[in-house]
Amino acid sequence: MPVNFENNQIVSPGELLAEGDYLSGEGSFKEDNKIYSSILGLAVLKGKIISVIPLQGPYYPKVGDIVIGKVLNSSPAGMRVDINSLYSAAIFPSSMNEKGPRSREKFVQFDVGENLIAKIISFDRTHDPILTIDEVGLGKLVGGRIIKIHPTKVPRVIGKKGSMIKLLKEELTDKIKIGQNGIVWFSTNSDAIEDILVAVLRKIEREAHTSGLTDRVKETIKKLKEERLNVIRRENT
Amino acid sequence: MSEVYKIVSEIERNQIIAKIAKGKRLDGRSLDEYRTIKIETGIVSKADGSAKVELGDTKVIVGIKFELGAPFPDTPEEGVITLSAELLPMAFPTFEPGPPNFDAIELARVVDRGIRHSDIIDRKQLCIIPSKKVWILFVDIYVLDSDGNLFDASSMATLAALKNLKLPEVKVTGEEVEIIKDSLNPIPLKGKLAAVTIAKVGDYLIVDPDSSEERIMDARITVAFNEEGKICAIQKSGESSFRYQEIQNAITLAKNASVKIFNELSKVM
Repeated sequence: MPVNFENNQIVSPGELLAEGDYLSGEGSFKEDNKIYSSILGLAVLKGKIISVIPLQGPYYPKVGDIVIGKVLNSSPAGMRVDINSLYSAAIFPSSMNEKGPRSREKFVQFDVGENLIAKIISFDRTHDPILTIDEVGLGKLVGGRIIKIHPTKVPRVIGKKGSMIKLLKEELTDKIKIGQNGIVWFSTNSDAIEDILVAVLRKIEREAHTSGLTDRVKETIKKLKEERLNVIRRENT
Repeated sequence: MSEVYKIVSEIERNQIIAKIAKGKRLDGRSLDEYRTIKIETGIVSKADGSAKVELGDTKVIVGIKFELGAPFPDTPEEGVITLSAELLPMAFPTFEPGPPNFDAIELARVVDRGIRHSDIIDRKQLCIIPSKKVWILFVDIYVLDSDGNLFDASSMATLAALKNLKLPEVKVTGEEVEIIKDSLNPIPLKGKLAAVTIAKVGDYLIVDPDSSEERIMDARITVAFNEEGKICAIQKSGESSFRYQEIQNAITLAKNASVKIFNELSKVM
């Protein structure tokens, strides 16, 4: 049962990945007991499942994902939400209750154009994703700023066991939320921090495939902060 | 799915307006700053004149073909210039295939008006036999990628393509007109033209709006200048209105911004 790749090796569509008793996961297919890649990406072997993580591509909804969306249409029967995907999501009034402190529930009404952070509770190819906001930390997003990154780069913005997001929260702002669909929402107290955060997110997106990224991002934040301080000092003198 | 792009998220709208109120924009530009301009000429080998303009992420190709034909009866001694614009479906999610829509027609009209009223082309020189045979120029604007401000990019590309255009010499015997092969000459252009678009967002005026700013703007005004700084054409679009003082300010802003366009055009002309 040979495997034709090392973990995290870049493979192209049609490339033979393995022969024998393996299972095909995301981004791969099985034919005559052989597993091929169907997309350009990084091949990963986990147990007996071989999957390929795409280098680029749109967001494909998955049950349990936290996403940030925009309300397209609102009616008493429910809302239609754009989640930066091939599929637009639906949310029904029964799951439009925000959970506040001490598990107090509050029904929230949305207007067209408003943003929300929600969780996908149901999706398959026969029906559109269905969202809910009745969990702590989910609900309407007010103020702040939204930027889009590539959905495939989202795991790097979160980092291994949340190391990157922890760093961003400690160094820059604790009001930052990342949707699996590639939309990042954050709110900061100052323009300087906002600019640094945008620059850092762009850097992570650009260098997502390299290793030791968290350490380099840490240095970049330090450098950018010092530059800002110098500018402020120069303006004051 | 095009509704996704027509509805602007509240947060996005507010963040753009908040930035503009502080005198900055989301991509780091100041309110009166133009994006980077890149002009290439002669990129379509089958066309008789062509140019590509990149204005930030906006990409426009213009190709010109000529033909011999009859002039319009009311201008028997003038050649004909026909402009048309096409917004290719790959340029933006809301662009659809089919006959030109309102935006495409407006784009072609604005560029056409700039070229026509700045008199950079002497149309009498395109005449061969009055009221019988003249040159007809077909100028086609193709928008490959749309990130706002198609007016300025198309107008620059059209001008660069006209500069790139070469017409053959003709031999006239009686009423017969014969094209002499391998005798291509550029047509003389009088000066240059720069169209500058100003968008109005709230009470602020911004130069060269990108697509996110175009989606939230209240109105816009396009002013075309010739090289001496004379206004050749003005087009206003959008739902809101401009006050008299705002138009004056917009023209001043546009005039300052046109310097950059003239500089870039000088590199290829």
